[in-house]
Amino acid sequence: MKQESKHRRQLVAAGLAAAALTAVPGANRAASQSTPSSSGTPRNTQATPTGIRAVPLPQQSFAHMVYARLGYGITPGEFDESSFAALPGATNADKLSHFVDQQLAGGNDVEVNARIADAGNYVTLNKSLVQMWSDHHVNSGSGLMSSSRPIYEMKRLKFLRAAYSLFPLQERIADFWHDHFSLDGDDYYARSTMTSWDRDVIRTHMLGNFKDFLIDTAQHPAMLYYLDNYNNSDSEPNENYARELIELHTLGVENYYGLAQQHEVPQIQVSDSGGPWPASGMIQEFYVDSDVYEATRCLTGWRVNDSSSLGDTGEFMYDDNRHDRFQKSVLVGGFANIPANQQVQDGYDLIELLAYHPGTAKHIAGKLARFFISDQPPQNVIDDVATVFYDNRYAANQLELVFKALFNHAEFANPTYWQSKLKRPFDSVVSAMRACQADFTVKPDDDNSNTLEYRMDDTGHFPFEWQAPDGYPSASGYWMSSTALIQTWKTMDWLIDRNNSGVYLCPIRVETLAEYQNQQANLTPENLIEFWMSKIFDHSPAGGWSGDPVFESIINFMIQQPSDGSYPPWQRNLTIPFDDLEDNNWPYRWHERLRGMISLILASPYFMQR
Amino acid sequence: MTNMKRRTFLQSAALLSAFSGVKVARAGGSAPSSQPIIIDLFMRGGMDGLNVVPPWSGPDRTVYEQIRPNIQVPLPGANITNPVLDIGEVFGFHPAASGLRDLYLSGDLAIIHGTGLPQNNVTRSHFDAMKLVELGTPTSLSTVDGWLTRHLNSTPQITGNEVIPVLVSAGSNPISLQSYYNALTVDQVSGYHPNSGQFEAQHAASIADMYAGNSALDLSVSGAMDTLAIINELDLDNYTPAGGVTYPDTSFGDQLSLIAQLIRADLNINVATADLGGWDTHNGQGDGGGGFFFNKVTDMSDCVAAMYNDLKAAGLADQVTVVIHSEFGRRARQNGEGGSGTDHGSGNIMLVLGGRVNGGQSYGNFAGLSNDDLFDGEDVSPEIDYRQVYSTIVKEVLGNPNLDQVFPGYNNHVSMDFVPSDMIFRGGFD
Repeated sequence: MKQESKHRRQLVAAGLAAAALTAVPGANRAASQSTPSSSGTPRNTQATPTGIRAVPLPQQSFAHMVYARLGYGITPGEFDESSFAALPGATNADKLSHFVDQQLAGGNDVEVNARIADAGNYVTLNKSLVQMWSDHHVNSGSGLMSSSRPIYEMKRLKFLRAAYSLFPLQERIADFWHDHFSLDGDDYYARSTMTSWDRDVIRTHMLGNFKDFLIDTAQHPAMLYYLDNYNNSDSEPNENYARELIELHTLGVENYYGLAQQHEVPQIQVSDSGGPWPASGMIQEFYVDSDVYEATRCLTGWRVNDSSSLGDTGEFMYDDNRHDRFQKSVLVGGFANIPANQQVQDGYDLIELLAYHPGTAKHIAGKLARFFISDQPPQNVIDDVATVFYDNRYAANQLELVFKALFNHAEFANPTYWQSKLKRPFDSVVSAMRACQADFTVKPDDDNSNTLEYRMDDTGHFPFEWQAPDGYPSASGYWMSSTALIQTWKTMDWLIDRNNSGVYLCPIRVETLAEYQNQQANLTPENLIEFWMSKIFDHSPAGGWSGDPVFESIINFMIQQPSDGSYPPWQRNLTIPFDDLEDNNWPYRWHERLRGMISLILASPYFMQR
Repeated sequence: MTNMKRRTFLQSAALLSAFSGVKVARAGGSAPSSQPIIIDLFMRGGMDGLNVVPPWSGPDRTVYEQIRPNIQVPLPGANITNPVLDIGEVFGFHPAASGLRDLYLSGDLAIIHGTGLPQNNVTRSHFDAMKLVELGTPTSLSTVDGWLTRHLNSTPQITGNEVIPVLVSAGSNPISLQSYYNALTVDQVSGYHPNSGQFEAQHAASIADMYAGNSALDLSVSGAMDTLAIINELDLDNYTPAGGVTYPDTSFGDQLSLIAQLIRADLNINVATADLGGWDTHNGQGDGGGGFFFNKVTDMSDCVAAMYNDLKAAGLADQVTVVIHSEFGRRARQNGEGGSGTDHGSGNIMLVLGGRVNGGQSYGNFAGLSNDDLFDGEDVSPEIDYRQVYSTIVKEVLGNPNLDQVFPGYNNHVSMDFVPSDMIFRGGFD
């Protein structure tokens, strides 16, 4: 049984249904019905939103779009206009293609590695699953040997990698799959094996073959425990994992035909043969509850070696004594396509049926497009990516090809969908760290990191703490709550304000003083905002930022009257005394205003949307 | 968005607070508003209603013990620590639900048996079931707004001048409020500001200026800024529940305490929601009436009882109606002969609580536990469309006759008759 967590997220909590389900098949799934808007004259009619998007970043460049969606935004000197311009290729499309190739190829992630080494207390990264199980489950102690040390390190490492990786696209892709195969990191078996889950399962397969990926997710102790399959046996069948394997990991609920019988489900022709595939090539287009029950039977006896009499290694084991040995019928209209006495092969047959099913290709393609492009992506990109997924289902680099197809698709570059998603809180905070060049090694047993965790927890988006198996929602609507917004801004503001004996995590004052050291007369509110908006967005619109609505909102902040009312408001083009900014002198407190100004730029729709 | 009263409230509160830490609250003696309030509490994960209100006697008890040998809630007897609580009927309450049992015996709480999605729309997916329930359209997952949104948009009892028409005591809005952008959504109130300190007012004002448009994000930010202002004006850190009530020190207790507190602050709340998750008991549910499920029910029951008793002691029982429900019930049988839990099912109980509820009675239809009586051969049968329960409340308690707008496609509504005839909404409370 899962332990009840102290966190607020619900074990099963729904995301807002902004991701419209495209296919709603089934006799009992009537065609979409539009809800009549309130007719008559309701007295509290709300304004109808014109779309998800608030004001978009003006004249957004192609490079900015690429870095915002395929990473964590502008990172001065690493990911900016000039780095994109330096990529090989004559066109933006060529450069994007090179960027994607480079990112997916990966390499020595020097800054991440250096910071891990410098932290000196990431101790589980090189432990094998068996070693981790021995150290943190069987023989767990306290501190570095505690049962939760692996999840503790993985939570911290996720920030470190996202903020400093040279391959941020890989971090975004890992994030996608962590949500797709979501599990509660604090769960009993997960917490002591999370390093292995992230390394041996997610990162090993995230650009590989989906069937191989599924097998390793199914056989990892973290997943076996989280969705109860470790306990699924002939005498105590438990369909929790089997249902989510089908509903979330593969076919998706849009391919659920409800409580109908298997023989009632429409069929489609496929070319796979042998094993569980019928000679006719005809399989069910959708799944029904009986498929879930049959899948549950296939997976009986798939458990963890977690008993001392068996060695207690933490590895996957198949336990024939717990297996339901009789024939089964999965996705083929009711006849038995999985013969009796196949033992562990039943599970492999099931996974192959699911991994190679066309419905799975569509489900995954839709999720990818909604994650990387828009909450409502055009259907052609979903169809095209699904085709690549399906056609390469046997390929070792199937998912690499899928990602390349997605990112190089014409619709990815279509400006209609730029800045149409709200960054999730983790992404907002990490992209703030990058944009502001934070020097902050997030690591275990560190005060600043502890505070970051505490604040991120309030946003509702702290890594590996979503308790339901559907993963953190990708849909923007979910993250538009006042809590998520306010707490995200508060966390970013803390990043900007945080200092230790005057040394700030983000070198805002250092950068500002360096810029104006030799042109002190130009240190005016207008110029300061112009400088920082241009820096954070790596862009200055023709004619400058003055007059822009975000710029003007921030001007009002900068020139506000001090709390001591005997001093007047400042003026937008009046020079700020250089020393006053450096020393944060009373009454205007210019350093504090400067940091508040950065917080506001980060809170603006230009930064929050990607 | 029209919220004149909210603006007025914020302005006056801002002015007054310059002189004192003034609390704009009912306790100050102002005339209370009298609008009906629904508090919708979603037990997410599939609450096992058959163990919350288990059979106490009769043929269903016999079958219950047969199909749940390991996880049944036992009858009282020697060496039984956690027996079913007797209410003198064929069903009793789970031993951890003494708070709810007391409210049942006092006539405040009604049990509705056999509720769920219409049988043709049953799904055993958590996520679809939640959406279908919350959208209020069991035949469509693509409805753009939630049923509570449509209630708010169609009820004549809301003037548009409310300070906080909707309170979500959680981190994010539920689907039942999809496409509603005016909720106060908050799960903790301390330190609720993006940049507190001497520049906080202009900081918030500048953010509001940056999101002055009409998009979903603009409206959400606007709501967030209102939330900020309201929270900063109310003294929420020091709450004294009425009637000597003590809330359990749990997240759910905090959420319900906040609901009671803001209702008592008289901010014109019409709808409040909160969630309690963790009900997905495939495994390790607990035996002998104890274990995980016992703790879960304790949290639910103790927190709900605390909130209701708080509001009741404050004289607000007649204004509030609390609904406790889940996306589906669980399988009638435990998972196999060695089973320690239950898989996803369909039919379930709903609990309705309030001063305008004819409680101390059971409603609905419990079809029975024998093989032939189970739905799909597996579940407590969903005999009562959940919309019938809500529609009874919407029409007779909340005073919104526009059921065709709240639940489009739901026709021929028949009252469930759990509202006493002398308390049915008739154009205003006296």
